[in-house]
Amino acid sequence: MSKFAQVLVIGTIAGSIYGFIAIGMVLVYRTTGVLNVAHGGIGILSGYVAHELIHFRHLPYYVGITGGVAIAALLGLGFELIVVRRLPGRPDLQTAATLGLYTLLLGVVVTVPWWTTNAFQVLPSPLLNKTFRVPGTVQAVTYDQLLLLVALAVFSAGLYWMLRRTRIGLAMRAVSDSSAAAGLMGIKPQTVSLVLWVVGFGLSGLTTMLVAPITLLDANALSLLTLKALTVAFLGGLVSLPLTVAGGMILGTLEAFNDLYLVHLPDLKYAWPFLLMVISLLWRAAEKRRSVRDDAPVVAAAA
Amino acid sequence: MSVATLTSRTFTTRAAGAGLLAAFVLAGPKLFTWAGPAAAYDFGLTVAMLVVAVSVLAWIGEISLAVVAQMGLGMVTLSWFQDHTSFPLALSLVLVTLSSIPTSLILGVFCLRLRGVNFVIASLAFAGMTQKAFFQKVLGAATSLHGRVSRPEMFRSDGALYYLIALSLVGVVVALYRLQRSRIGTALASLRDSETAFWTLGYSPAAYKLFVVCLSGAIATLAGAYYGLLQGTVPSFYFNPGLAIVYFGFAVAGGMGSIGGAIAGGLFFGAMPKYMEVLWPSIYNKFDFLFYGLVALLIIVWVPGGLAGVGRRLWSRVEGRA
Repeated sequence: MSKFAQVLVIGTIAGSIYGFIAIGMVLVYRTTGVLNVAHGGIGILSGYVAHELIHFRHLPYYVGITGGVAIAALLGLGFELIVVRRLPGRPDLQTAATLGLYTLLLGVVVTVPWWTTNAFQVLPSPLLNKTFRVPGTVQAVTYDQLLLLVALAVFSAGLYWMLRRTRIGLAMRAVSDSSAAAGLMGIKPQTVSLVLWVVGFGLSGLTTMLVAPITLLDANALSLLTLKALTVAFLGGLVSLPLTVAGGMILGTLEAFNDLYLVHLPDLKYAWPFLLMVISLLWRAAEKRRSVRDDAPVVAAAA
Repeated sequence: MSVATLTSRTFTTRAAGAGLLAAFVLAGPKLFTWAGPAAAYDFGLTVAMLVVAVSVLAWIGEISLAVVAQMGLGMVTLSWFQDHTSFPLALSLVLVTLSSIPTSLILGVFCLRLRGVNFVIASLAFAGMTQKAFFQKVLGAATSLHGRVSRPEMFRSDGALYYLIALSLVGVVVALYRLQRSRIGTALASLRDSETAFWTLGYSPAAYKLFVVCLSGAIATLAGAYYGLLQGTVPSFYFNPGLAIVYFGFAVAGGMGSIGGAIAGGLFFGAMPKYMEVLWPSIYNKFDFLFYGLVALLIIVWVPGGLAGVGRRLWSRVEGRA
């Protein structure tokens, strides 16, 4: 029982990492139709900027992370003004542009030699190395991990509420459905787009501030997490925030289960994202068949 | 100006263009010996072949990021053939290309169920799984490499290998151009425009989609075999999905769907950094990704048609003035 509880704890922590990265991508995709491939790259750059401010310039922690998130938000502003506005109504090209941005940002990170010389650097945090033991298990959890979990709950609920209840959230959804119709209703699509990209990029920066103290401040590791988060976003259909979070938790739990119970099959761990996608596809196909079957008796009765 | 004269001049211009291209292909890496070794150009050709594989999928309006995994499988399969059989290289290459079909069919099933971004993510997950669960075991990490591919005697030099790769690429390009102009090509164009109309006209979208996915996979696998011949051993991290994203960037910069654009993009982005590595080693190691990203971003934003669009515009000017 203790081992299974350990699986749940480790899975929840890993799942919160995937989920937090994925909700930023889902927010942008749901409202613009653009898959922000640069999500991880933006976070990596802002993480290194924060590390520079805190570790090398000896500025206070909160100034450092604010600087990192501000850089990400500024990048979002620049991307919207320079790229998105030049490619209106072309989400495919905008997605390709985020890919170019991802590569560019990785390039920026390696141009500063002292940023990447140490392979095992951790973004400092006031909660670093402070742990507690989960009752009933041998698993120790750091306060950074707990903070991430709480932040995931707050932000996913907050974004869910924003998209349903606030003026800006409704405006985002309206512009996403029909930019022209939204314009006729008095919404300014350009302003909405600007806010959205700034929030999306800022969220990416914030993600790294929360994730990097748990993992490592390493471009490859963070890129790999982003790839897994994409799978999680797929499980949520790229639109559903609750399903995305649930998908993150499921993937994290399956990986932890693999580590603790299927020790003789270590490579299976890497197949879980793909297998989950297969299961998700089969489930969706079954749902579709069921909905068709549910409609059938009505037609038959009428005939 | 009479129509006959214009046709003749157009013909002359096209013949001159084809001659220049042929001379460029035949001269190959010899043109750039001042900038670096022949291996750099060979690498560019291999990347060009891979980018063609990415671009071919645009014929059905899809993007796959599993091409790098298929490239790796090509290398591993060639290595297996060399270790376990005594087949000549030509036969091994044909078998390696055919061996891509099962993997392509798996991806094809996803392509039938998913579209757009969803298929991109599925292909990415497939590539991630292959790299972590398969290549890391078979090829090893950076410090302990295995899965070696050796070159036959006549292709020992990079210069000789160039002609083999170039010949294959020319074969692939000619086959693709003929395919594009055939009934299948026309059908594929209509499939991309409207799947419903395509289906209504009695064609099978599934068969055509599977065909294109297999075609793309075969080209990527062949590129992998050549990459193995060029490098000998390749660490597993080379086949990571992140690089597939970079290659997709090359395809976009070249002009998605255009074979010429894919080759131009692949050759330019593949070979040039290798030459830069020789000419300015200190700069290259620092600025390669910066350069890739900046150029890709500039092309996407300012020239959405990619290098193919630029080429078409230039060519129409040349033809118009001839």
